[in-house]
Amino acid sequence: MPVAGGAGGTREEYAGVLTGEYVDHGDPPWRWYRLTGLSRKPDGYPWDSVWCESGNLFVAEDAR
Amino acid sequence: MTKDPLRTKLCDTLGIELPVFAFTPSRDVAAAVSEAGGFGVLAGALRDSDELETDIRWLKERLGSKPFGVDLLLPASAPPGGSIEELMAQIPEEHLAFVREIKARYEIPDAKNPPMFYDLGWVKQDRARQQIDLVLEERVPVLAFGLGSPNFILEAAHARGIKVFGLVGKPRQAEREIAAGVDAIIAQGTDAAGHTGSIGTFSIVPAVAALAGDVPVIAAGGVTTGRHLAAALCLGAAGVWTGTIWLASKESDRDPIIKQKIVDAGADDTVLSTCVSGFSMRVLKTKWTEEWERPDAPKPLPAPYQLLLAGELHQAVNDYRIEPFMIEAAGQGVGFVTAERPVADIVRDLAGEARAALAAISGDPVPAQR
Repeated sequence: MPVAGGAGGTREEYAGVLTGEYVDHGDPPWRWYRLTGLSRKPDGYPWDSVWCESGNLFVAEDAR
Repeated sequence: MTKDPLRTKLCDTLGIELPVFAFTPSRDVAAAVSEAGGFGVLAGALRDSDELETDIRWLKERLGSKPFGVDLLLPASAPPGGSIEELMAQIPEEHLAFVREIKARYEIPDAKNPPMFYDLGWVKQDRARQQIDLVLEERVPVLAFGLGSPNFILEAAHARGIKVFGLVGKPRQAEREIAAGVDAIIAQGTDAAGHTGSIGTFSIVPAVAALAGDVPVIAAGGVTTGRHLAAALCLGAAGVWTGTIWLASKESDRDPIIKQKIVDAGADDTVLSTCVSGFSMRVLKTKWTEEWERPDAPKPLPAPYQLLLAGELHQAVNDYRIEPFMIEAAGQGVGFVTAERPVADIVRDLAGEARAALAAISGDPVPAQR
C-alpha cells in the first residue's frame, strides 16, 4: 500500500511503499519503517528508500 | 476584581503565572523566565546526555518547585545509508566544490573542533533516544518535541508525571498528536525562528485551535511583544512559545556577536532557507545564506546531507567567530528586539503590554500587575 512518508515535523515529504522492515529504538519502542519505490522525495535525495518514524506515516489517500 | 486575561487554564495546569513559554539554549534564561512567572524550556538538541543531565539538575536545584521543560528535536526520516562516512560519500562533487570555493574565497580556516552538527539527534536516532530516556529518568515536568512526533513516548512520559507538548506546522500533524493524547499543541507559524513551515501564525493558530478541543494550543512564530501575546489569546491560544526575544537578553549565553546581530536586525533580515540544515529553517541572513542564493549555486541538499556538507565550515566559523558567517535562528519578530535587557524586564513588559492591549479592546480596567 502506498504510504505518504511522514517527515511532517521536519518539513520534508516522501511517498512510497512499506517494505515491512522496521527497527525499534529503545523501550518503549520508537519504531521506524522503511519505504521504498519512492514516488516523492526531496530534490537531490539520492536513495530510492527512506526510513520513516512511525508517528509521521500517513496513508496516501489521507495525506493532504 | 477584574480577572487577569493572562491567567489561562494552561497557567493553572502548570502552576505558572503567565502563559509565556521561553524556548532557549541558555539554562540561565530558562531559569530566569520560570522565576519571573513564565515557563522556561531548555533546548536540549545540541547537548550530549552528560551536558543535558547537568543542566536539568542545575535547573531543578535553582528552581525548586517552579516548573521548566526540555525541548528535543527528533528526526522523522533517515536515509538507508548508515555511518556519517557512508552518507558523506553520497554528496555530489558539485556541492563539495561549491563549499570549497566559499571556504577559499573567504579564507575560512579548517575547524579546530569536530563538527558539533554531526552529533545532532536528528542525524543519529540512538542519540535522540538517549536524550529522551534521560528526560524521562529525570522526570522533567514538560518534554516538548520541536521536531518529530511524540506519540510513541506519551504513555511512558505520563506514567512519570511528565507532560508532553508537540510542535506542529500543519493542522494534519496536530490532529494525530491530539488524538494520541499530547498535553498541549504548539502551533508554529512561518514567522518563527528555526525549523518552520510555510503556514503563517495568523492562519495556523486558529486552525489548530478549532480542532484541539480541550487540548491547550500554544502559539508560536513571531511572538516578541505583549501585543503578540494578546493577539495569540484572541486567536484561540492559551499561551505563547517564544524564542527570538530571549537571544539578546542579559542572561543569554549567545556570543556577543550574535547578540548584536539580533539587536541590529529588522523583520526582513531573516530568510527561510534549506541551505543550513537541509530542512527549511528561518535564520538571520548571513554570507552563507547569500552565497546559496547566487544564480549559479546548486540547490541545497536534503537533510542530513546539507548538514554534513556544511558541518565542518560551520564549526570553523564558530571556532574562529567569523562574524559574516555566524548563523543564528531568528524569527520575523526580531525587529522588536532592540536592546540587551534582563529577562525579568522582558517578562514584565510582555505581560503589561498584553494586559493593556486586551483592556483597550474590552474596555475593562487593566488588571494589577502581579
